[in-house]
Formats: sequence, structure tokens, C-alpha cells
Amino acid sequence: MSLQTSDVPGARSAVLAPAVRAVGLTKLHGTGDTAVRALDAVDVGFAAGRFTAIMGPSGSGKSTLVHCLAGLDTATSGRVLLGDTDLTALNDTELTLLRRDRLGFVFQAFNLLPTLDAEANVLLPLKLAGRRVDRRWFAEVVDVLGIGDRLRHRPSELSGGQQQRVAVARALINRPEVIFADEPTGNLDSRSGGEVLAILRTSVRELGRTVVMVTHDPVAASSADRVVMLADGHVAGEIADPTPDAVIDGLRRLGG
Amino acid sequence: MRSIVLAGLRTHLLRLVLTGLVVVLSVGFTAATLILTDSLDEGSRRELAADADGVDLAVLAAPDGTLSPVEVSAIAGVDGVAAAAPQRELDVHTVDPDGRIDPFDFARLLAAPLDAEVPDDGVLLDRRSADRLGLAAGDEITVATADADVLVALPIAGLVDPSSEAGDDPELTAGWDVMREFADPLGASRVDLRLTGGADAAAVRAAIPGDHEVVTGVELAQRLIGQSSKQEALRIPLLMLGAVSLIVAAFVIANTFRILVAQRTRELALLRTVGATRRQVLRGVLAESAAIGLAGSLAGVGIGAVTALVAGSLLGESLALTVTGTTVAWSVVIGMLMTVGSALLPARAATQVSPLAALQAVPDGADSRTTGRARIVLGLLAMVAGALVLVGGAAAGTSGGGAGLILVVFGAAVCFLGLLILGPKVVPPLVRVLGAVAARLTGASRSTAELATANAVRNPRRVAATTAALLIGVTTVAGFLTVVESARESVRVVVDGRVPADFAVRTAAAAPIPDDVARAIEELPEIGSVVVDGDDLLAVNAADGVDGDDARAAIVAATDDHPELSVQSFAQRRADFEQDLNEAVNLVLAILALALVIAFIGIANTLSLSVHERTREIGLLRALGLTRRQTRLMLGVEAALMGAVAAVVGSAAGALFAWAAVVSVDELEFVVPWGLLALSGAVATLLGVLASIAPGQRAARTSPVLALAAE
Repeated sequence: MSLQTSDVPGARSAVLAPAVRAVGLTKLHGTGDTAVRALDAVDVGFAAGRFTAIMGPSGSGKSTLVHCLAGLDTATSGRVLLGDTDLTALNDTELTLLRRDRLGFVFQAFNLLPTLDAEANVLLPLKLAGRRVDRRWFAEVVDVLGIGDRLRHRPSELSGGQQQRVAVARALINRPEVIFADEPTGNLDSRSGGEVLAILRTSVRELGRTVVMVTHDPVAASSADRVVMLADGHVAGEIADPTPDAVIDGLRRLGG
Repeated sequence: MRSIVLAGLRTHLLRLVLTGLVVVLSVGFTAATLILTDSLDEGSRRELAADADGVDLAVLAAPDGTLSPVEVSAIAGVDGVAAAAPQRELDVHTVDPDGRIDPFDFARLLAAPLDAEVPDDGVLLDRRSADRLGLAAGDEITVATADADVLVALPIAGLVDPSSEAGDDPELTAGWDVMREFADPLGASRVDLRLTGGADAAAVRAAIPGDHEVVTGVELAQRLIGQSSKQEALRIPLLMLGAVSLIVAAFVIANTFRILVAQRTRELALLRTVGATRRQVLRGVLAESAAIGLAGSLAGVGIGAVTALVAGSLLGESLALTVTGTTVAWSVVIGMLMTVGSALLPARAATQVSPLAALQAVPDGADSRTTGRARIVLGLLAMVAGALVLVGGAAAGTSGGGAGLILVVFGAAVCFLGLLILGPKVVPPLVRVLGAVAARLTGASRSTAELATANAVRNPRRVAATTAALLIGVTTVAGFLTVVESARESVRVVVDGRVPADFAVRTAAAAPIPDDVARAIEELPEIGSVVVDGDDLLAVNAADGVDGDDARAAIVAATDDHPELSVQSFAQRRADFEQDLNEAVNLVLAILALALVIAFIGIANTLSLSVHERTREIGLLRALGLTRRQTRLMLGVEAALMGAVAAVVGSAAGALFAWAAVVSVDELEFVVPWGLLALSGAVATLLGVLASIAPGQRAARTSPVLALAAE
């Protein structure tokens, strides 16, 4: 296997099919008078083979959107489509298996099981599925992420940056259709954060993955191919090929 | 600080409920024992006081002697004595349904108390025996002297309640003349007197001839109460069995507090940063534990009283419910010691962490502390020393030493203590080994079993303490079962007789069994062989193909004019023995089951606290694709591993200790009850799995979103 994009045909083509999209997605937190409309009929798609950042002020619904897209939370109404699969029609077990087999996750913190070493953490989704490990793919992922000499370490023996790299390796191991990253650099210093962003970009450019990342950091967002702005549960705009300045401008307009 | 303590209790109430329940159950049993035995004692005190009621004066015989008939009549003839009732208790036999006397079955024949209405030629029988023997007032009962020399058929004049001293033997009450048919001359152990109205007690006392001790009715009651056998024979074994539950409970409570306090380290640190002193925080935690101890103990006393009432009615006693201050005090002291003692060390540890460090730490249940070298040395020392004493005791026993069994018990206790001290070093490797086996067995869910194993061993102290509670229970049960089965096997050998046979013909008389009886039996067509085994026993075998009941009936018919000869089937005797033994064994097992229930609560508690602590971790696993079923399986395997380790180690330790105990008693033969040990081990493992159900459900409901939530 090479590092080319053979398993995601057309990933770099001009017409980008959405890997995952929300259709009229609405999410209410609570009920009755106290209900909060976290997402209000959101329509948005995320192209396959691209790196998309979601930004917005606190309470804009960006985390809720990602939770619903990733099958971690259920929507009140509307649909979430991963390829041809409607996530809103699945029960808990089906959603769990879908997450295990077709999605990857990188969280802000607490990404790794403290009882397992780095290698076991990376291989966890495959182990849970009872699937065989493709050793060549594992070696490639480990090599790309530069964690080859850390595989026998427990999470408590790794730095924050190293932990996030192990988490990204885990997100890649089952060749997911989409990797969701929720503030993956939030707990890191700027150098480690930069490294993690570079790895996510590499995952998209060289390994052909689709990455959807929630962040509040304009610099992190500018690593993406596209930034989707969210405000008050609505899509408030988007920026293609963003720069930090463009993102900051966009955020300022949301605020004003 | 009090408001903070109360708020803490409210907040953690749910988590503390199980701890409180453990206190209630363990204290409850001890309280029930004390209340039951106190109530039985109180019942017999009242009965004895009633016996002495109406007695104005009582003349007592010397401790080892009796008052002769002459002395009795002289006393009865003193001026001012309206009525005199000589008192005496005789050991007699009643005949069995064959009309024969079993030399091993005795009855008590009591002289009628003062002013009792007993017909001159009849007896009163206790109701319990009447029910058992199928007799009613008006029937006849045949009573024989202890040496089966004199047999008298007596009409049953009435039925009375058995006295508290009755035990299982029949209790007969008769007038003095009837008594004399069984012993003549019949001396009295005491003469109770009622005086004529207006008689001067002092004058009567002075007029009583001879140098006898004379007491008033009140003094007599006190003396009888003082001499009455208190329920120590019931109380002490029950308290010892209850102690097993208390020890298990102490482990469970200590473990729970350690986890609770560890989880609250941040909360306590926050209190410290806003100005609470270390002492205040410590006092707060201790006050909280004291409140649980107090509440649990008092509830335990209540449960104990109810249990005692139920047990009393099962024993067929209408209980004079007696809850003494001592009972309440002991219960509260035990309950408070368990809770406050358990909270002390973890609370101290928690308050010694610097507030800032505590605030930054994320509790994940891991324990980075290594097992201290001192602990290992101490544990090994205790195990080796205990084992040496144990083996020494076993060896001493076989060479005829009397102290062997005591040495064995002491050695076993020390050895087991060593095992518990080494727990954090011993339990995790065992969990890993069994976990590897479990992973192999679970096949497709292999990774889930591996996760469960890793979870179980992440905190060596916690898994050791949780397992220890169950381990104590399993060891006790396994040891008890092994001793019982060894005893059963050994007694079977004894019961089956020195000479193996179908029937035993025994004599209750002092004289040997006449030779012509042996010959007569041997000549019966139903009989194969007769072996004369000493003066008092014939071992009789039925002829081939003859039904046991027919053969027995033939022997009974052939010895028709020998009421002193009883005919017993060994099979029947064995069945009776087994039934008695099984009843006792089941009672003990039922009591020991309480310890297992407490250990079960301990596992459920530890798991549920662990689930609470690992919420984010479980959320992460759920996000990564652990299904709900797998989540429940993960918790189930974790609990089953703890149960299985306790089962394996406990069965081995119990059997080993039992071996030493059995070997130290010459008459016993050691038997390993493999089936029962396997069963108790399976029950322990199953208890673990059952304990995981509720925490497993909660874990399975964990939302994966929790893992994403920032701190």
C-alpha cells in the first residue's frame, strides 16, 4: 500500500461529494419553556478528502453539531447522512458500530485509556470490532505520526502532544470515512498544537482522509481547507482557503 | 463545619446508602444474637421467678447431697408449715414406639412444684414432646428408670409448657409418690414450704431441724436464676459466626471510604483553598462517617430485634423481647468503630495532599503508590509463621497433644492475615492470569475481557480489598464445608459400627445382653448373622433377600419380653444423624451467607463507585465503538474476575486450614469435598457477576458525549 489516495476515489477532484452532511438538523436541549435551540435547521455538507474547521463563539452550537454528525448525540429533527447512511434512523448499537467502523475521533483531552499502552490504544477500535490488524497500515500510521518509539508507553508517560498523536493514530487505524476532532489542540502548547494540526493536514493530503475539526483558535482553523462559521445554531458563513486574518475577520463580523 | 458535613451527607447520600446497608446488616446480626439470647434468658428468669412464687421458705440440701425422707417429713411437720413440696429431678427413659428403651434417649422427671395439681398416680407431660410422640392427655406413657430396671405405665394427667431447661428431651412432672417408684428411698434436693397465715417465718426457720440452709422465696428465685444455664451455648457460637460478617463488613466499609474520599479529594481541596483548615476538613469527613455509623447501628438494632422475634417464633418460643442498654451500646460502638475507623486513614491521606495538586488531578482510580517493602515483609512473615504454627498444630494433634487444634486455629488466622496483607501484591497477578483465561473463553469479546482485566488491576489496593471481603467469606465457607464433610465421613465410619451390620440391638440395662437372646435372634429365618460386640451390643445382619423392615420386626418380636433391648437400623440411625447434621450445617451456612451478601454489596459498591469515577473513560470507549452489551460485559468480567480470585484462593485456603484442623483431631479423617468447594466457588463468582448488573447498566447508559466534554 502506498500513501496515495487510492481508496478514496476522487478525493482530490474538483467536484467534491460530501462525506457527511446535515439536512435541516435541529437540536433542542431541555424541554418546554427552558428548551434551548442549540441547532436550528442546519444544512451543511463536508466534502470528502477535505479538512474543514467549524468555528463560532461559545454557545453557537458547534460542539452540538459535531456530536450529532458523529453519531454521539441524537438530533431532535432533521437528518445526518454519512455517505448513504442516515444516522438519525439508527439505534444505539447500530450507531456504536458505525462509530467504531466508519468514524475516527480526536478529543480535546482524555483521549486515551490510562490502563492501555500507546499501541493498545491505537489498535482499540480494531480490537473492539474483533478485526485483524493490518500491520503494514499500522506501521505506516505510526511512522507518519512519529510515535514508533512510544508504543510501549502508558498515557501517563507521554506528553500532551504525544498523547494527541497517539489519538490521531487511533483515529486513522480503521481507515474511517470521517475523522472528527473536537478542539484537538485546546490543551496543547503552540508547538505541539502545530504538530498535531500538521498531522491532521497530512492525514487529509497524503492519507486521503476527511477531517472535520471544531476549534476556537483562528490559527488552527487556518490549517483547514475551509472554515464553516456557526452562530446561534445557524450556519453564519464560510471561508475557503482561510488565513488566520480572514478567520479573525469572519469571527469579528459574527460578533458585530 | 456542621452545615458542610450535612450538605456532604445529602450530596453523597446515594453512594453512602450501600455503606449504611453494610453497617445495618453486620450490626443487625450481632444485635439479633444479643437480643435473642437476652430475651431467652429473660424468659427463663421470669419462669424461675414464677417457680419460686408462692414459696415462703425453701430448705436446701447440701450441694452434693439430698435431704433424706426422714428429714423431709420432719421439715414438713414443723409448726406453721401449711404445705411442703420436696423437689427432685430424676433421669429416666420413656419407651420408644416399639415399647423399648433406647439407652441414649433420656427424659427428665421432675417433682411437682408447691401447690401444683398433679393426680397421685399420673404425670404431666410437656406439650412439645406430646406432639412429637403423638400423645394426648388420658393416654399412657411408659417411664423407666435410668438402668431400665423398673418400668411403670403412667396416665398422662395433662400437658404443660416445657421449661426453658427442657432441651429436646421429654419433661415429666409427677407427685412425690410417683417419683418414688423410680428411686426409693428418694431424697429431696430442696423442700419448698408455704406457711400458714400468720405464721412467723423466723420462728419456722428456727424450728426447722438439722443444719440446713433455709432461704426465702425471693432468695430462692435469685439463686435459681443464678444457677440457670444462660444462653451462652447459643450466644458464643452465634457471635463468632457474626464476627465473620463484621470483619467482612469492615473490609467493605474501609474500601468504600477509601474510594469515596479519593474521589472527593478535589472537593476537599476546594474547601481547603477557601479557608478550611486541615483539621476542619478531617473532622468533617469523620463526622460524616460517624453519622453513617450511628444511623446504621441504630437501624441494625431495630433489624436485630425483628430478626430475634422471627428466630424466637421459629424456635417455638414466645419471646420476652429484651433490648438491653448493653446491646445498644455494643451495636453502636461496633458500627461507629467500623465507619470512623475506616474513614480515618483515607481522610488523613486526603487532607495531606496540597490543595493545588488535588485540584489539578483528574481522578481515574489509578493508584501509583507501590506496595511498600515493609508490607511485603510483614505479609510474608505472617504467612510463613502462621503456616509453621498451623503445620505444627496439625502435627501435635496427631501425636496426641491437646493444644493442636488451638495452634491450628491461631496459625490459620495469622497465615490468613498475612495473605490479606499481601493482597495488593497477590491479587492483581491472579486476576491477570484468570483474565487471560477469561479472554480466551470469551472469544469474539476478547478485547472486552482484556479491558476488564486491565480495569480490575489498575488499583492493586482496591481490587485486593474488594476481593478480600469475598475471600474471607469463601474461606470460611470452604473451611467449614471441608471440616463438616470430613466429620461426616468420619462419623459415618463410627456410626456404621465397629462391626458392619444392618441392625444394632442395644441394652439399656447394666447387665449384659443374655446369651439366649442372641441365640434366639440368630435362629430367626429372617436373620443372617449375629455378632456379639461386647456386653451391650449385638450387630445383626438380615438374611439375604429379606426386607429390612421385616427383619427388624422379627427381631423386635423375638425380644418381646426384653423392654431394655432396643433395635435400631443403622440405615435409620445414619439418616437421623445426617438429618441432624444437615440442619446444623444449613443453619451455619445461612449465617455465613450473610458475610457473602455483605461482600456482594462490597463488590457492587466498588464497581458502582468505579463506574462513577471512570465516566469519561467509559464515554470514550462508547465513542470509539464499545457497544452497550460490551460495556455490561466489561463490568461483568471485571466483577467475575474478583469473584473467581476469591473463589480459587478462598477454597484453597479454606481447605488447607480445614486439613490442619481435621488432622489435629485424631478421630477425624480428612476429606476434600471437591463438589461443594466447586459449588461455593461458583457461587462466589456468580455473586461477582450479579454485583456487576446495576453498575453495568449505569455504565452502558453513559453518553459518549461525556468523553468530549472539557473539564
